[in-house]
Order: sequence, then structure tokens, then C-alpha cells
Amino acid sequence: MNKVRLAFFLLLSLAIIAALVWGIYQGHPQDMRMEASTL
Amino acid sequence: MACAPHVEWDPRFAFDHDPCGIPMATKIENTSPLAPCMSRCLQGTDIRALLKVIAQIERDERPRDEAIAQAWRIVTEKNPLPATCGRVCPHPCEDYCVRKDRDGSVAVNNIERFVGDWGITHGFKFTKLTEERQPEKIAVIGSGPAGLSCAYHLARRGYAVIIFEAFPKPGGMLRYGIPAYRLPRRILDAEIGKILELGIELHPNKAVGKDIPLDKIRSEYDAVFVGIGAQKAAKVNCPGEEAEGVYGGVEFLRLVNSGQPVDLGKDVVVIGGGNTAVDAARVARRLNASSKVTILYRRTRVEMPAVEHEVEAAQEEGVEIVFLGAPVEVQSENGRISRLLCQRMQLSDPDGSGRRRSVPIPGDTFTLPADTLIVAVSQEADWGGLETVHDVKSESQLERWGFTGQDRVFIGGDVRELGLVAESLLQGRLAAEAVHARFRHLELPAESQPEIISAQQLLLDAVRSSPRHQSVELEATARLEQPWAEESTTLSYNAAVGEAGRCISCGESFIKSPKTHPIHIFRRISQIGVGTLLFNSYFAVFSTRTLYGGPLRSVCVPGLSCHSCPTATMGCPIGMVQHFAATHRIPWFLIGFLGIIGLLSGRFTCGWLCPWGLVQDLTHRLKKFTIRIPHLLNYLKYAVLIVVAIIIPYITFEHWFSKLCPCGALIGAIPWALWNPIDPVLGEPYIAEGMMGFMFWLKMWILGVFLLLFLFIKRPFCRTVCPLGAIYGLFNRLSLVSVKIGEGCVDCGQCRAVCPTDLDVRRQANGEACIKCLECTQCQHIKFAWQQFWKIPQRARKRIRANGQPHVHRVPAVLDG
Repeated sequence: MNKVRLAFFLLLSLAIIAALVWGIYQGHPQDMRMEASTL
Repeated sequence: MACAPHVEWDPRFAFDHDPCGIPMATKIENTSPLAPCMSRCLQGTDIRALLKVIAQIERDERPRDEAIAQAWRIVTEKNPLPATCGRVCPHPCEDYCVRKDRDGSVAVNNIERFVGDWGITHGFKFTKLTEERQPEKIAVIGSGPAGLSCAYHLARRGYAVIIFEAFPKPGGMLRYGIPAYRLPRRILDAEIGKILELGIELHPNKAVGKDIPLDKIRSEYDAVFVGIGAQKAAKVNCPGEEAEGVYGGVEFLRLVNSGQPVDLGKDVVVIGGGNTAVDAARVARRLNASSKVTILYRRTRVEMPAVEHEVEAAQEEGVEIVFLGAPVEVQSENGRISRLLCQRMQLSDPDGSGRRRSVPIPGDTFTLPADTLIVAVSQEADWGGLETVHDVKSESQLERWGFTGQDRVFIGGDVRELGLVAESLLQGRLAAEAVHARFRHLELPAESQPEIISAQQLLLDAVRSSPRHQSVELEATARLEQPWAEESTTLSYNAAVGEAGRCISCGESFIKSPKTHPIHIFRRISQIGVGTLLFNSYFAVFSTRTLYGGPLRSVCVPGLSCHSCPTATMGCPIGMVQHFAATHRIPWFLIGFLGIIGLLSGRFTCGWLCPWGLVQDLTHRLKKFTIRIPHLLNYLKYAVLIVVAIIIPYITFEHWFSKLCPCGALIGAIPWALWNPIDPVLGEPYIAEGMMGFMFWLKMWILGVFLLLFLFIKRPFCRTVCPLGAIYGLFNRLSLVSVKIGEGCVDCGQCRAVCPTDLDVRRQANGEACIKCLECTQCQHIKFAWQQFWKIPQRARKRIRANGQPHVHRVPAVLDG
């Protein structure tokens, strides 16, 4: 096992989840819903 | 030796590995269909395994000696004379190589020779299969290829073997029939020496039947193998044949190969069209540079049974061939031949079997001047003292195994039926198996008909073209200047490794019925059922006439699917990227959403869910041919993502990618334009007259261009344009979903034929362009794997860094041996 790679993978995963949560907190899904419902 | 018919062989019976007490007919694990070459190898050499070991030496970073020793053992499992066979076998295996009509057969024969020579120069030794000594003593009569093979296989099984040879040196027809320029004696001596090192006793100058009675041998030994060969030349039975200067073909070659002087005179005529005739003619040409050598053959070049290469070499050396001529009378002066009266022949119409007989043209004769006549039409065994074996041999029902009908007497080689050296070796081996079975009370395996793979079952179009590595041959003038020097060279190490790498391991690595394979069917179901229908399942639009605006719109589809499609239930990820860029915000939620998909599966979505990918796959099925595009274009999609999907919307506040997107044109713009329902709120058509302006038609034009490209290029949009593919591609090497290429892969390239993105799978699997469709896993050497990015071994990473890609088969130029 390569510890540097594992750390990188875990940090990346954490960052992605944090972005998702932050995006939900920011109300992005609702914004996307408005956008996607237009023709 | 004449051409031999195909001998049935079943590799599934690896009886060589079980010498003592274990049933010999043990099935081996590899149940792959036979490769065409293996089906034609008279000795049943595992050609695939041999070539694979050689081809992968550098890839697997194996020590050369260790790897070539393994290859040597693979060959010598059946054939104790690889360097010899590599020189004299006419290699029928190569005639059936699937590459033959493409870029030339794989040079199996030359590789066998390379391995055999390496074994000689590096002192490889045969090992016995058991240390146990069997109580039986076996007499082998004759030390030609059949006798040597029988002795070798018995000695390896612990039997005491004694060879009786009528001539001063062992080798039989290999030594006394085949000229030294084809088979150097140092090679023959070295290989026979290795066999004798197994503890075999050789008694030269002992002709059983003449010097020692057969009955005495039978009483002193537990079994006898008769492999006396066919040392007596057949006559043509024309008047005057007893004159001085008339030789039989094998007799002439024996005299020359024994070092005895032969006075040929100026004009030499050789009668016959087989290999012995051609050998005799070429030897005669070498013995007397000023002689005129003519081969007289009663049929045409097409019917000539000699190996084509040998005939060409003879003609290059100045041997003249007179076709459609037969001897009538040997005319002599002072008891020595002076002329040969010949009859002009013609071929008859084909008879019932399709064969055209040679018939004389009445009254049409001609004369050839001849100081020497060599009759090489056929040869037969000299049975002196062994007639009892001769008398019963044809009664045997088990002739294949060398049984003679006499208890404990076996037979094989040319004495049984004229054949190739390889066939004699096979018969010697089979007789050894029969002897072993007789004394160990084992059952001989039954004959079977193994499945043979055909070229039609292979995806050869995807196999990379690669020229055949040739051994260097001396020019005709050089051959005549150095008459007994070997006429060709052995492949260098680099050439042998490169040549072995051309083998695509037919039958072991192949993709059977790619369009009905479960992985392909599951993928199509997923693309159509989930990616296309489920993600676009708002069929209520046909009554509401408005787009779906429910909670599912808060997320995106994972693939490229237009949110303006009438039945769309979710948003388009690239539409959202543009939306946030145009509103000057960072799309945190989208980053998290796409990041999770990417980390889990990379571009798996592109292969299994994307409806736009499905359109490309299906359109390309109509193809007539496939155009390959440069790999560099794969990186264009990153520019499209950054420039068209982010920077331009950021500056212009417009979704320019969506405005031009061909996927949107197909599943969004066209359905609305064709349907154009009445807006339930406004009470007017959605698309008023005149609204379909320049941008609409530009989009249609782009769609048309891409549809045209899909016909000839595999997934060009996914590979070069798709910004979503670019995002997922960043995660491809990290993601859990991946494919793993096994060590058995021979880089045949057939997986490329089923790869929807036309990747060189071995080098580019799991790379940013790989859509993880898993179609390549139809090959048994490629498997689906849950990749743990953090567990990639150090060695593989080093190789990735060194070569740019993992597991690259490359032979460094400095390694030329």
C-alpha cells in the first residue's frame, strides 16, 4: 500500500463530499432545478 | 523424405508428464481450441506457449537464460532435436498461420531453431522425468530421428536404452541423407550428444539382422524398437541401370556425407522431384562447380513434391529442371553411362480422384548427356535380417503406436512409411509411450478431434501489421563458393523476440461472437433501458405539453442528455456547468456530484449510460470501414470544456456549448420542432414561424457532420469533444471500476476490434479515453477489477513512469544478442 496515494485519495474524496455538502447548503440544487425546467 | 500427411494429435493428453505409475492420459487444464499451426505440427509442439514465453521475456523482465530455458523445455518436451528440426523441417505449421496472407506467417521454424541453438551454446541439459530406474532394458535399432526420439523418451522415463547403429556415427538420414549446408554436423552432434547424456548406450557399426540376429536382441532385451529408416534407393527399372556412374539418391548422399570421393564427370542427371532429388542435385552442383546438373521430373512444377524453397535454391545455384520427362534407357560407353534416353510426357485429364497422371507422348523422345545418373525417385527399407518384423507390421491394428503384432517389438520412422523428420520423431515418441504403457500397465489415450480455431473466428482486422523477421540467407554464388557452409543464419535474440511477439495466440486469445456476448447485451440494455428511457421517462409531456419541473431536476443525469428533451426528467451536467459559469459562481454541488461518480466509476457512465454514446455506437455499426484518428485529438475535449463550456459562458453569459450541442439538436431541438405543440399557458405553438433561424440550422449542420463522422470513426464525439467525458476522464486512473490485463495477454490487438473508442487496449485501458465499457473483457486475458488506486505495486508504477504506459512490450535496441 502506498500511503501517499491513499492520503491523496482520501483527501480528494473528502473534498468532493465537502463540495457536495457546501453546494447543497448554497442552494445549488434548487437553482439547477429552475434552470433545467426551461426550454 | 517425402511430404507426410497430417497426423492427428490431441494436446489434451499430456501423457509426457506422468512417467511412473500415474495414468498417462491426463487432461491438461488448457481447453482452448487448437491454433491452426498447432493442428498441423506433426510433433504436437505447444507453439503458442513457446512463442509466448519468448515474446514476453522483456515485458516480464525475465532473465534471458531462464526464459529461453523454459521455451527450450516446452519444445523438448516432445522434440529432442529443436535446432535440427528448426533447420530441416518444412514447417507445415507456418502454412496454416492466420497471418500468412496478411503480413507473413510467424516464423515458428526459425524460432525453434533459435531456441535449439541457444540450448546448445548455453549448455542446456535434458532432465529425466524420474530418478527411478525401470527394470526393463530396451533395444533401439537405428539412430535416426525415430530411434533417437524413442530412446530419448524412454531414457527420460528411467529405462535403460541401448541403440544399435549400422553406420559409424549416429543420426541416420539426418547425418547421411541431409547435406551439411542444410544441417551442420556440429549442430547434429551437439543435439545427439545431449540425448546420449541421458545414459543411453550407443553401439555403432552394429547392424542388427546382419551382425547380430534379431532373435538374440529379443531374448536379451525386454522390448525392441525398429527404426532402421529407408536406406535403399528404389530403381526406375529401365535398361542399362546397372551401368557404372548410376547411383541411387540416398546412396549418393550417403557417400558424399561419409566423406567418400565420388567422380561425377561433367553432366549429372538426377531423376525425381522429391527432396532427396533436389538435395542430390544441389550436392552434385557443389561437388563440381563446372558440372551441368539437370533434374528430370515426369510431371510439372505444380506436382513436384520437394519443398518449394529448396527447388528455388537449386535453380538459383544453376540446377536445370526438365519437366514432363521420364527415363527410357541408360546408354553406356565402355560400361559407364554416357547418355540418358528420355520420353516426353504429358499430363492426362484429371481422373475420378482429380489426379492428373503422367502419360507418354508416343514417339516423342529426347536424349540428355549424362556422366552420372542419380536415381532419386523413392527409397525403401533394407530389411536384411529383420524380415520377420516386416512380414507382420501391416497386420497391426495399433500401428499408430508402433505395435508390430510381435510382442514387445515396435516400429517407427521411415521404415514404416516415408515421411518428414518431424513425423519420424513423432513415431519414435509414440512407440516410447506404447513401450512405457506396456510395462507400466497403463492405458493409451484414445484419439480425439480437438476443436481448431479458424481465421474466420478471429478479429484479424484489428491486429497490427508487423513484418516477418527473416533469417539471412547466403546468395547463390556465395553458397557455391563455400559449398558446405550453412546457407542461412539463426535469428538474433532481438529478431526472435520480435518475431515471437507477432503470434496472436490463436484460440487462446480470441473474442467469440462479440455481438451476442453477455457483456455486450447487458451494456446495450443499460444504455437503452436506463441511460435513455429511464432518465428520459417523463411521458406525461404528451398531455401536459410542458417540460418536467419536479424535484428530479435538482440533479443531473450522469451522461450527456439534453434537459430540453421533451421527456427529460433531469438536467444536463454540462448545461449546469455553463449555467454556473454564466452566473459567475462555482458549482460546488455539481463538483461534488460529478466527482463522486468519477471517483467510483471514471468514464463508466460514458460506456454504459450515455444516450449520446449509444447513438455513436449504433451509427458506427453501419460502417463500411473504420478511420483511426490520432491519439492527440483525445485531449481536445479538455480545451472544449475549459473554453466553450466555462470561459465563453463566463464572458458572454450565454450557454454556447448547448447552443451548438449536436446531442441537444437530436433529442431536444428536433422533437420540439417536429411536434411543436400548443403552449397550454399561452395557447400558441411553442415555436412560432420564423423562430428556426441561423442557430437552429447551424446546430442541424453540426449534427449532420457528427452523424457522418460516427459512420467512419468510433465515438469521435466522446473522444475529442465531450466536456463531460473530459471531467470523468480526470478520474479514470483513480476510479474503482477498472479493467485488468492479465499476464497471459499476447498483445494480439483483437480487443481493439470490440473497443467502442478504438483504443489500443493493452496500452490505453483505464486511460482518460477509456470509457470502461468492459467490452474488452470478452477476452479471457482482460478482467473487470475493483481498482484500489493506493495499492498499485511499485514495480508497475515504475514501468508506467518509464514507458508512459503500463506493460508495454518493447525490446530495447541494446539487447541484440
